[in-house]
Amino acid sequence: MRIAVCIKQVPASQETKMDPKKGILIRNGLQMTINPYDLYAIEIALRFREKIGGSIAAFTMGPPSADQVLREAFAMGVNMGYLLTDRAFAGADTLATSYTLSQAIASAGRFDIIFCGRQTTDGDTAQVGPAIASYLRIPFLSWVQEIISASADSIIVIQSVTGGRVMVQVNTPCLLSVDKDVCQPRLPTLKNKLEAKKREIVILNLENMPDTNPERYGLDGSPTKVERIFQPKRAAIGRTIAGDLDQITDTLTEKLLASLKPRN
Amino acid sequence: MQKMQKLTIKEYACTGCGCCVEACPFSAIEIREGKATVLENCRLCETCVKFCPAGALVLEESSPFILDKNCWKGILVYIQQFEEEIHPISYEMLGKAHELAGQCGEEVYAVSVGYRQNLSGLAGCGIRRVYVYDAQEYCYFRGDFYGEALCDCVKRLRPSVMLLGATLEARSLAPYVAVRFSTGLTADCTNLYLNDHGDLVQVRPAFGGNIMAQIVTAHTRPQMATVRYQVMDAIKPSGDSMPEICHCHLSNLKLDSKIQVLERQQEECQRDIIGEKLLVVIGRGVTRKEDIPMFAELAEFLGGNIACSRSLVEKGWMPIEKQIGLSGKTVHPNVLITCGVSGSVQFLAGMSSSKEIFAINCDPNAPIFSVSHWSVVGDMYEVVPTLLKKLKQKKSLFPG
Repeated sequence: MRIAVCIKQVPASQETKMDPKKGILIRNGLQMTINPYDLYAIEIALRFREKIGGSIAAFTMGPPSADQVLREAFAMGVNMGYLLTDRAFAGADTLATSYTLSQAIASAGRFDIIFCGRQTTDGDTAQVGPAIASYLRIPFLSWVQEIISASADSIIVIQSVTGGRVMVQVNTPCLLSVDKDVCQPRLPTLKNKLEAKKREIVILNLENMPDTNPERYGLDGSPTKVERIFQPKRAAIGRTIAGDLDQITDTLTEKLLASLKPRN
Repeated sequence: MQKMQKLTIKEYACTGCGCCVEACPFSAIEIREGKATVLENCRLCETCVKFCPAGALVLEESSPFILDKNCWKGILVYIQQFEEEIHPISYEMLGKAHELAGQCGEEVYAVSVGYRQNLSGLAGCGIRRVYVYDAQEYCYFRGDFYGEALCDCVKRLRPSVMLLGATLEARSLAPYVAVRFSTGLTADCTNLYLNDHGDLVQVRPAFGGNIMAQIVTAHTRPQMATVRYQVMDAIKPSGDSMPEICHCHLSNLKLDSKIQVLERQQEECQRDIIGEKLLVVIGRGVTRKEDIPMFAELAEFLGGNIACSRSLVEKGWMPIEKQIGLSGKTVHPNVLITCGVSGSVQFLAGMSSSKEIFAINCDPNAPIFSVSHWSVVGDMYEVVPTLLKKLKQKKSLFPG
């Protein structure tokens, strides 16, 4: 079985602050890491390979430093790593990102199953998995909670839907967006991490893609555009409960009990 | 899509002061050899243009692409069926659609996909026409079949805007449609309105923290947006006039779906935080998983339930069903008590309409204090145990 996993490098912290006077972001040397949700996708791919056999290729789009996440994938046990990097890819929204990833996957051959994490911690949209599948014209299932069984032709999963869960069968080739509960990701050993540093990464530029038209990628290929960023102004509407611990808790007790009295 | 705009540096004016580097939210400018250089990941947000003291940064047009937007009119709402009724989120999309339609003088349309659908709930909602895809093939949700139906509707109607309530199904369905039309899709919008050009302005939190991004899809159609449950106001149906119904059939429904639902599982009934009248919400301020029961005790004592912000779900200390926020649930309790929650925009989107909000945080600048009615700047590890003790002392006065 040929398995693909799409992963992304994201900022480690989510609490980016804005300087309210200057109206700009405060960046204190952002640390980057693999999108935590992607670890579940990698792990489920590894378990698939353990059960059915085959190979796993990880794909990531980003600047050259995004090779970091491919090395983490190697350390967990992934066979091949593809880094999609090119000036032309930069500044992409979810559509252009999905197109780029789908092009890279198509250029790397036919895959039986593609795994994605449910969303990223920096974008949160959960759009890229379904969009990649749509570009590749393969069926996809999002919110996968559990894999029940798999064969070369089809996979049976438990999927979350509004108001419950369903057991669904999907034919391969397909794409699955897996959620956090699907498995527990393994921790790479130190030996694996050291070996991962020496592994070869395949670099894919625009010219390696089947479609080499730069207008389909990056900023030019992005139909959505960020017009501006701002900090919402909110006037503090409340009252401060002040005093020492004793006074504060007395006031809180009084107010909470008052709020809970049934109103007539 | 063609090249439209480019950020250029007037080198003679650039002093290499670096204000632009500091201002750029995407790290897309560098100073090289004393002059600003724009990098390839520039998103054209124009923040740097505002901050350059020398006016050396300019956004230039190059071969502007003009879409004939006159061909795309109307606001289309995806109506989601749920348990033989219309999901309440659809009424919220209709509410917003009407507002937008009023702003541009256009009509509201709807599209609904299912089997033996009950559409009586669409009466009095001011919908001009509803496109109905009703067939056995749609008896349960499948991304491929539902996606084809929506694409067919968009081709027929050519709406300017398409709104989908962000249910689990719609969140995976919307990208399918966006890809087919190579158009923009913005998820989890907290605000939507039309600008002077008639384009849809899509506002959503970004970059984590307390920052909002304003997004437009200026050159493609339809402009697609999803919105979470209980963020927009529902339309109040008035009267009983049904919209015009257009029954649609896909000519190529001979396509075999590759997806088959085998069985539906009963969800175990959990006390949902959405219905609760009182919630104690814990956040990043909780330093150990072992501390959580104390806060749960407070919630239970007050007759409510415990909930949390995103960080504790990501740590694996709380289940996602307890998460309040844009990617969690939106709640409207009578009383909401936050302990150690900073109050990011994503979190506030999930609870700011609570009737009475008590916030406990040791940081006086925490954004949560901008929405709380009662603010306590203090250590929750001191306040809560003492509070619980005093509440228990007054137990006899507590309304059972």
